Amino acid sequence: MTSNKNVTILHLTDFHVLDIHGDHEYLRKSFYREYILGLIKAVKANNQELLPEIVVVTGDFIENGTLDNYSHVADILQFLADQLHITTGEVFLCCGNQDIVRDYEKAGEPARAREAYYEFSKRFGNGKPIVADERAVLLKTRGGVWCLMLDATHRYSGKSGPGVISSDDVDVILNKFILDQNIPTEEVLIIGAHYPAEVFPGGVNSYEEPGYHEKHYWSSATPLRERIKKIREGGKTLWLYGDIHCPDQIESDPGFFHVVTGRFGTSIKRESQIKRQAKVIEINETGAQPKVLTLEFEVPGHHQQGHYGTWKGQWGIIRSLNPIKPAASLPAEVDHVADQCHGPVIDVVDPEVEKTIIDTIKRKNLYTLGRYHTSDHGISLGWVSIGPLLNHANLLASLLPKMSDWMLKQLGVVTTFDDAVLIGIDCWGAVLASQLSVSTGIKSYCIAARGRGKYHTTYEKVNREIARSVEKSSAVFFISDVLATGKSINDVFTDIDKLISGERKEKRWISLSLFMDELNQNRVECPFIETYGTACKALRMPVLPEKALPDVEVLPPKLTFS
Amino acid sequence: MHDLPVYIDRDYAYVRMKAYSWIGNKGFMPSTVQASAGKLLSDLIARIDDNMILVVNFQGISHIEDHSLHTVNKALADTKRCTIFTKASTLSVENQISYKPVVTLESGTIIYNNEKPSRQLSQSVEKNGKIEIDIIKHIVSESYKKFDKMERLRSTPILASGVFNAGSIVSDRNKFIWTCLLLTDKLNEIMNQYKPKANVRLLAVSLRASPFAGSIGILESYPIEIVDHMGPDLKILEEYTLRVATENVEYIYVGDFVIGGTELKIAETYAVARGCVIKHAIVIGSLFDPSEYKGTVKVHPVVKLREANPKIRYQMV
Repeated sequence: MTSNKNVTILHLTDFHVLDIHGDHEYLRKSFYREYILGLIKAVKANNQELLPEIVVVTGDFIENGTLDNYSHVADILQFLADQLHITTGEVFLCCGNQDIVRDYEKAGEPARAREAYYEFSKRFGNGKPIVADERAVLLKTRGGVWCLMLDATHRYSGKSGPGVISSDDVDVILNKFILDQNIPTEEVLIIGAHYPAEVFPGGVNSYEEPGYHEKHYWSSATPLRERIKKIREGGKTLWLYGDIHCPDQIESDPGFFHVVTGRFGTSIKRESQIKRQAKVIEINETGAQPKVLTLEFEVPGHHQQGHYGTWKGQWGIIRSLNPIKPAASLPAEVDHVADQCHGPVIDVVDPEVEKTIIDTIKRKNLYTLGRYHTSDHGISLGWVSIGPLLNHANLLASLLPKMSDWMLKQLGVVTTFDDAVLIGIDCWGAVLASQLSVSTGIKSYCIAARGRGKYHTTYEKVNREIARSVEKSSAVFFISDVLATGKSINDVFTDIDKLISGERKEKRWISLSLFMDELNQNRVECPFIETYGTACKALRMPVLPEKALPDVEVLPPKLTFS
Repeated sequence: MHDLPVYIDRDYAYVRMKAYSWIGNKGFMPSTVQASAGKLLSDLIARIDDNMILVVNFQGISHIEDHSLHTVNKALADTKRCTIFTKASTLSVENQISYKPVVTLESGTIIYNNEKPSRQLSQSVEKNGKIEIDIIKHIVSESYKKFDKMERLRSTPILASGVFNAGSIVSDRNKFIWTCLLLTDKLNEIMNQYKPKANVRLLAVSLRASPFAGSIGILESYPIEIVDHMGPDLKILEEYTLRVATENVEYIYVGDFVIGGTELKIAETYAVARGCVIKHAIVIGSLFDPSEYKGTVKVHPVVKLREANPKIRYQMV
């Protein structure tokens, strides 16, 4: 695998196919193609350039050992692979507790209990393993991605809950499947298991089911997880799980990501509020955090319907359980420790560019601490001089194509750009917007927002011509250098809104900035903004209300900390 | 395809290749022609009226990447359009365009499908740059907003019959591109005649000048400095930007329009206060002849405002 390559994975789990001719399963014969086509459409709508190149399914393909249904599940996966333009050789499977014949397992015949599953799984990537035994299957995609599919039902004995993995099993998996195969630490390793080998804090299912953790967490795999962590330290390892229907995504330690996805199938007769789900995970070998697109099948009305609904996707990030790093290192490291719950989802236009920006700030010592007004009442305690940053090594010119591509991605496939408008806010926003206009052909305006136009002429403020142009557009991009509190775009939006007369055309408002600190807690609500994009969200620029700071005599505005 | 920057006269169309490489490369390495720019040009060759001669000026292009003009080669063969390449003599265009018939003039101008009286046109294009003067006059004239009555300008104690609004140029992509390319030519004229110190930086001190400074910086790889703002009103909104240590910089001031020169004087003071100097100012238009602006800064307008709009009137307050 070449370095810096992005790998995009579609993770599905828990099909629980039972009654393929009935009307209460989305994966039934007469509905699965619509269901999957809707999913692919939603993936494309959110991630049009990168369709997943690998599919991982973490078990429970069928319900309660109904072996005849494997043939239908194979049709489902074949159809899915066709729609993604990949071969079934890029589809990797794990065994779930529903996939085996419990009576044989109870009778001490584990191989016989899994015979039908093995036959079924051979039709996919699992059929050409690098190495395989009853514990695991190691595979490598055509693109060079390593996938280790673990059988979390191994030594399951037919009781309810995950299998038991012994210390001998751990030794075998580590030696035979990882160390003997010389899997380079710097290459991404995907590990799939039906039951989670990591605890996801905050899951609420345990309240509903006595003995929940024993039944649903593969706790005996903890030594395996920890030893893999030791030998793959410094690399990137992505664990994918099913079963618990309590979707989440965490980084337990640097470089160790754990994603659990909700069920893809299951009869709608099972009373549950949890939506059908799929996830697309975009991971690369650089320092950037993986991104996760969570897709949910939304059904109108109060109850699940067996015959219609819509897949909707939203990009998110992986929340970190890492200890907080020393403050001194924060500005200089790409470390997305944001909890999604604390603010809007912010999309980074290109992780490589973000890394370059952070490296440049660090190398050129461009970050200063002090007392910097971001608005009339907001003060940032950190600041970067935009000019010296963008002048360095042609950074501005190399940043623009990425911003331009991101913008066009937001617009989707369009034949005319007259339907969008760019609003460059203040001087650097005007520079960026005008350059993006050159490359895309979208009309751009420059507007003075600082001081709410008190110090500018009519032509530099929001005026009727701009409002008219916005009125006609379906998409409006606010382009700025730093989105700190968000007050500037809020003010500009308000000014434009006041000047729009008559019926308002529905439109999308999108913010694109050079910097937007994802951890900033003092942001003005901008409910009209649909999407936030930025070249750099990893740089901390702590913004506080002015009244929260000591008086200027105590903390002078031009004090520089060294 | 969105409208491209092309100047259309009665019987010919005129383009700058650098505009197409700027668009095609999305701002990155605009002096290099890549396949994306070749594709834009070939689309144009195929699209304009059948009888038109197309003039392509390669000024400012330093390199053409391998295979970038293959689509142009095909478009020339398919359309048989008479096409003139000027200022392309050092770019080895013939390595990529094998199409014949072709005539290469002593000046380096290349003419494909020379069935029309194109020699005279090519000489006209090369000699006086009249086409580009006409383009900029038209752009500046259209940016003029007439007042109902004489009004005092914000920056200078002068009454005016209207204002030229550079914002309207910025908001029209093609006008913006033409203007930036001609400002860039001005900068290169200065740099060719004058040997500045190594530490040259473009300086913009107003909202509407910033996009032009940003573009010239990208087109010619010069660093830029932006101060928000000294014109038309003086109000420094980010005083901490002034704290970035700077000395011995030779600024080239980039502005939109110079009327009385107040903004320029403030910028000059700013430069001196920082241990730096401004010797040249490149602007879209100036009211007076450059020699009439007294001071150490030499003004280089692309166009004189009275030529763009003879009806403008100014008087002292």
